[in-house]
Amino acid sequence: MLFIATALPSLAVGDNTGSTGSITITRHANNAAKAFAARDYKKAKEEYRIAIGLSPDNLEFYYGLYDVCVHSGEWDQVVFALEKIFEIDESKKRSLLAQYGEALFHLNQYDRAIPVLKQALKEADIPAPKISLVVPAPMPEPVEDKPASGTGGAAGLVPNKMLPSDSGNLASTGPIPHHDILLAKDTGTFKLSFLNASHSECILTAEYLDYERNPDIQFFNPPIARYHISKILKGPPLNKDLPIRYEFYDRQSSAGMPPGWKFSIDKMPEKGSNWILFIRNAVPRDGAFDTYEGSYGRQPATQENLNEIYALLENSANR
Amino acid sequence: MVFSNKLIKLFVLMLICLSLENKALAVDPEVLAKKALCHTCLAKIYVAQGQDPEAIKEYQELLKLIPNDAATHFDFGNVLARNNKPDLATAQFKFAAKLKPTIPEYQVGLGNGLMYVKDFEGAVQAYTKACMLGGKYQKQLQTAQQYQAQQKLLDQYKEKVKKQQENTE
Repeated sequence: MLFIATALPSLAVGDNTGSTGSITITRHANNAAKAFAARDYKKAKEEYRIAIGLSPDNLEFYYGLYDVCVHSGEWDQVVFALEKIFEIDESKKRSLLAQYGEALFHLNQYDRAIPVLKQALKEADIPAPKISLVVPAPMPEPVEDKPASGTGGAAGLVPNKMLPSDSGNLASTGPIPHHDILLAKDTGTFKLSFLNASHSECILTAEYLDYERNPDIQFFNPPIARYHISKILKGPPLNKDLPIRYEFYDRQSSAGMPPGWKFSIDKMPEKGSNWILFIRNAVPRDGAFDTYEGSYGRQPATQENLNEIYALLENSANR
Repeated sequence: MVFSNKLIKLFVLMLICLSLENKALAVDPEVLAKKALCHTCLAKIYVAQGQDPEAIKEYQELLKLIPNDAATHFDFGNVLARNNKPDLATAQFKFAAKLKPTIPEYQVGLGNGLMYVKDFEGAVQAYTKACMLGGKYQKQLQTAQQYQAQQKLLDQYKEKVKKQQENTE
């Protein structure tokens, strides 16, 4: 069963944007989708907000904003987006109640959340709204029509084309909770397992040294941790001094930032401790490497873990 | 001939019943996810509000849906422990530790539960594992080791007394 962990926001330019025919809106929507795909949630949110400002009745932009803000843990924005969706299309409410209740829970609005969640349980069998999960290729910039000679009318804009959608092949579903529920459903953890982590480009053991001091360390703005590679189990010969983006959550989780979370040195591992690091892509991003699914990609270098990794690597080598 | 026809019909009927049962049991994963999400949020809300009995009900429903979720077992164990149900709590911590043996906190939860039920040897093992996993639980481990040592002395003393009694008899 394929679980699509990230519901990519739809850019299917349907009737709404088609009716606005706006190059600018399309550009912002495309930028938002690109930023989302690159996990630049801040930019994606900004672009969606601009697109919403320009086209406030476009349901899909609110879906996009909802999805981005679930990923970034901005639950107030999630509530805003969902309430707008309900306002525009009442029929969506029943199928998104669970997500609405979750957002209220994260905002500690328990009195509002409880009845919503209970209602959502009653109506859990209603399928989520269908939106395309495909991020269409960015539209080429349309060429502005030149005014027809002799007419003197305003320059017409080339109507936006319908962006291709192959959602016919995909089980297109609405925004899917991407958090630990997925983890729980796939009891072996579809994503979070050594088996899947072993497909990372780099697997190595390393000793934690320290982290780069930064006054702006937040839950979603993690510090750069410094490791010293002890042994490379798989992958290219990286520099022994290894900067790692030290995320505080695993990317499967949607628990968000724990209430009252504040960074302190005890959130970092003990200096000199040994870790197995799964590095998804052997190419650093903004000067540091990302570990597999955030915090999951850092595992203690215990005998048990090492044995498991060796077994997996051995098995894959013998194929 | 008639007998074998009956057998065949019975067999086919059984197959039909089985397939219907499977269909009934098959749960749409989206529905499952939604329900689990709701129960998770409700459980955490009730815990935050101090409504532990309600929270316990939610966790029980939740574990019917996602019985192999270590984090849920762990959280449920904590709620049970707070409600003076050490046996039930220990069972939940055991599940959590078994499902995710590399998380030190789950080992500590198990250790705490075992201390309550006076399984000091088990507690020492659990705390030791937690420390090996990188957790800073040396204090708990030392306490458990002290209790274990005390328990050993007590057992030895009891054994001695028993032998003496047997000798006098």
